[in-house]
Amino acid sequence: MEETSDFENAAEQQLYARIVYHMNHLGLFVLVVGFVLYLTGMLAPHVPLEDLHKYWSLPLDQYLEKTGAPTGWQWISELGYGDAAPLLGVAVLASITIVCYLVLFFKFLQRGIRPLVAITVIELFLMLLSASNLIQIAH
Amino acid sequence: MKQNILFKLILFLITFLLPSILLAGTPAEFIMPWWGWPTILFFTTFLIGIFGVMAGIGGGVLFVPLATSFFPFHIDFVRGTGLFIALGSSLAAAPHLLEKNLASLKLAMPAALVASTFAIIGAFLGLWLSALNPAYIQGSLGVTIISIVFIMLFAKNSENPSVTHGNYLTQLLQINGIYTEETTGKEVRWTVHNTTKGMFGFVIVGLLAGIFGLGAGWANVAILNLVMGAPVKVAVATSSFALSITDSTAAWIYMNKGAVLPMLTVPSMVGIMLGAKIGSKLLPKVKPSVIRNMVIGVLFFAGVRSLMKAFGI
Repeated sequence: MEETSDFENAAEQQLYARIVYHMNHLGLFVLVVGFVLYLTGMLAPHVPLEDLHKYWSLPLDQYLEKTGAPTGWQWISELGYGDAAPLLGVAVLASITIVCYLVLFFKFLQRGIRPLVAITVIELFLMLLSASNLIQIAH
Repeated sequence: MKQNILFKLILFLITFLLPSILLAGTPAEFIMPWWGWPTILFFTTFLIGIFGVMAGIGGGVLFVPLATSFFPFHIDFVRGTGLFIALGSSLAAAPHLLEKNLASLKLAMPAALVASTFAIIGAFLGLWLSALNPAYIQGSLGVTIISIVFIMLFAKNSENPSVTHGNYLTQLLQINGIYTEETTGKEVRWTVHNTTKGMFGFVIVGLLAGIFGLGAGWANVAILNLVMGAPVKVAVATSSFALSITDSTAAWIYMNKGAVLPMLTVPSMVGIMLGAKIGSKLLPKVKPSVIRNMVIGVLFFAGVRSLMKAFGI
């Protein structure tokens, strides 16, 4: 084993834990509220609840074609629809790691730990790239 | 007493899974009211949450094969939901694991970077293959699940592997840490070796997460513990935490493509989280090996069913 002094946990670990804890609670709250608005009919959905079973067994492209459900970031402009409202909570949950990595980037930069700064930058790039909807596949 | 609890749990499993098994793919789905399948899905994920925790595996690996095999939902939506189940479970567990220093940020970051790069490739590959012919995904899912069953049967974790010193990459990234072993109160100092080999393993983990929406915790633990030599507790906790990073990238892709159906995703996430809470309370009262064997049996059955569906049987 290495010398005792060589072993340490990242100082940023506790801060990361706190961010995840609070944002996860926020995300779940928003998710459940959005879903309740959808289920109770307080927000009308694109696809009526009683018709949903006709579409959920279709392949994705056919589902989108027949329902006009939002893709990319369209859901933001359609948050008034019941089936788009829960996506706000989904987005909060999917953003937690991005927020944590932004904080890590500045912390590692301050401490001058270049390998970890590099990892953080590449990971942030990948996460933002996938969130941006800029990369597409050809069918 | 233990057997009694186990018997009740098995009875619960059969009671809730049986309707979905019997009704899957039949015209009954059109007779059932719209809330029928989401309700069965909620109870199924609730049970997956209980059994997943007790068997020590993530919910995604049970959810995806069961939901694609026994529910009427298209595999595109099941994979999207599977990713969010894995993400939700991982985010819920992460704060506690990080605070206790069981999950290591320094170990998770490079592993997750490799895995998330390939999760993006996997997510696109999965959606592309599914657009060509869903049977490709269904068949390869069946093969993957049956392979997981064999890995789970034969891979034996090593509690505290002997790692004398890390290699260049380990030193460069300062991958080491300390945690307190609660059963003895002693501090355990650890580092890892074979970091490059381990990173190759995460290529596979990332691809599987992206293609199938599987959490791949079963593979993470094997790589971190058996290949890289992290103590088993650190491997299990870091694996669980790293999934929150890997799955975030793939989850955005599924969301952007419109493959996240709230009617499937929300009941599943809530069900699995509630189930996991119950499962963690039941954990001290049941024999984990019995549960693990039972879960392996269910996985094998789901894997075979996936293969049969791919061949139109």
